[in-house]
Amino acid sequence: MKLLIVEDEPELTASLLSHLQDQQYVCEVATTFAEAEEKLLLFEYDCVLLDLTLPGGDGLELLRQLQARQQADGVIITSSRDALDDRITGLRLGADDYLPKPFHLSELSARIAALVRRRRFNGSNLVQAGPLTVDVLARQATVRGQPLLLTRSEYDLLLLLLANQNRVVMKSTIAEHISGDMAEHFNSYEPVYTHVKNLKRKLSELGIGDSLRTVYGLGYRFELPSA
Amino acid sequence: MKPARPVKLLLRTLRAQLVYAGLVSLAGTFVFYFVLQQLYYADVDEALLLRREEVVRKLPLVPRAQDLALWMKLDRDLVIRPLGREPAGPERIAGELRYDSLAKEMEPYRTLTTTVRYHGHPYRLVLRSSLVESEDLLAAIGVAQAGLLVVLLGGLVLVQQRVARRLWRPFYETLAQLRRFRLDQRVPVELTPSPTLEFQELNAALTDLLTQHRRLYHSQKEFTENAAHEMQTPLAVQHTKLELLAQQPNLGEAQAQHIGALLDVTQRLARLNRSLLLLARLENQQFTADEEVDLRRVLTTIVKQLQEEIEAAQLNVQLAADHPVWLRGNSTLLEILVSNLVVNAIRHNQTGGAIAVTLTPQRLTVANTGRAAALPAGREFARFRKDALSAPGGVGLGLAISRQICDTCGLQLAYDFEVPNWHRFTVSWT
Repeated sequence: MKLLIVEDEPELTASLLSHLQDQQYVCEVATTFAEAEEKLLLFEYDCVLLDLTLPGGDGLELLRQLQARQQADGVIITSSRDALDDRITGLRLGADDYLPKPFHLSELSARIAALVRRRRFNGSNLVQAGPLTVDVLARQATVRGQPLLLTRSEYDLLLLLLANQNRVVMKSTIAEHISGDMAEHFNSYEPVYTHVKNLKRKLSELGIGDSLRTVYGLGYRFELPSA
Repeated sequence: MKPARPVKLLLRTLRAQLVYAGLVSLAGTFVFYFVLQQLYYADVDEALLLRREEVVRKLPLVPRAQDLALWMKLDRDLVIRPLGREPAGPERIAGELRYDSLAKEMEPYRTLTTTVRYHGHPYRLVLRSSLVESEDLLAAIGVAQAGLLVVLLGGLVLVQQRVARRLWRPFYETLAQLRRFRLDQRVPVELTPSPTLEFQELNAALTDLLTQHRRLYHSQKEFTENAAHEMQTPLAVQHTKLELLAQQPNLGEAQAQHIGALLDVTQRLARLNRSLLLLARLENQQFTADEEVDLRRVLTTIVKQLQEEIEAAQLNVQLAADHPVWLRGNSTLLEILVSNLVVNAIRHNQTGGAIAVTLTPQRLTVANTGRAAALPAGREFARFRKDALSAPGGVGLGLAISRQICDTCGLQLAYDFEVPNWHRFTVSWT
């Protein structure tokens, strides 16, 4: 799985590299417009993380070039330019997703995973994690063939956790993942606790409740027992 | 005093022209008639004087005084009689009304009265000239003249109007272009060129002004975006570093709690930054409000999205929105507005409380139970308003943003409090 990170802030690039390489992605970095332009011409990537404000040019211009070559669908725009028209222009130019800064690394993983699934398998696929299977197209999960009946929020939560296996997913990430922008208005994590509790109960009923663990007050980790 | 209704420029000149033309036609007709009459009288008077000459010359031909009666019988417009005791007086010509036995009505006459000598005696000589036909002629001439004047002046006014309309056309075109002008339009405005100097200057001045405004607008927008970038990137670095820190193996509980707190604060900072930027962009009018938005759809979507929070707080929500309500505005902004109001009603509620949302074709009302005191009057929508009873954790910009959105979209936002503990926000439009 090959990724190109187009980002001019070195510390942010370092964080992204550390996080994504941990998840077995092969990452390359471009820090300027020219560098990104060249790399995008020479190589092919499964996914491009594209910052819009770059030294030497506008990220949207790169997107236009990609669109002209019909390669824009692998792009996730990671911009601090939260200007509405940028978002609309970006998506109209064929970008797959728009993730405004500051974003959560776990959320980014979930978006990349979703993008890669869509591109690689033409949208029909299964996410496998030990005895757990998720049919993303049908939005159905099974454990050893037994159906795992989840609400929409619980299903979203499970996919987020699966995209970040063996890593802590922050409570705040879960809150935003489930309720989107609405999360910012509520400082209580009550809905998160409720969804996690319910998901854990349902997983326990099918014998894999142990895989969902609480990490102090920080968040949760999905980890299959190494057996 | 009520200001007078504005009048179109062309109509104003037309009015003035019509008043002038009317006055001139009216006065002109009378003056013309009078002058004509004077001329004619002078003519008649001259004829009377000539006749007097003739009579004086012919008088010696009349042999006897009795024959004068015959003459008078033959000429109805002639009277000649002995002066008697009448004072002679000077010769004079005057107008008079006499009964005409033929026409059987009073008719105007010019009458010359003078004294002549006949056979050595003073005689009164009166010569008359009827004005009957001349009056009719004069009237006819007057009417014709008046008609001519009306046609002439009316024609002038019409021609003037046509010319004026053509002359002012560049002005109206410029006006229409100004109306269509939007600060955020991509292409610079191009006013239709005019051959008239004044309009050329007007267009040049306007083009300058608009270009300057557009430049200012864009630089402001750029600044806002730059500010966003400069703040959001360090925040993004901070957030990702903390996330990476949290992934460290052998993380102690105390460390985890510190990281958790830092993450929360970072996120709050990011939200605060986003809210401030939204406010700045609203104030810079960086949104255009020209979409048709179904408010009911927005409302129901948002209430549905907030269902979990509503249930968590055990609130009883009454949503009365029976019909779609279409509103002209910016869909993103209206979504933010509605969600701010509903979120506000949830956050400042009490467990087991109630929310009443009513949407009518004229207004949207969001009311909630809450603390038993009204918000401080005049500061309901102030930024960062905090007091002892404020809900913890809020940024304090939600209502300020709502107010600003209403301003941008041309809506009115009002707050009122109803004893014992109902807080009501009303968005209205006309």
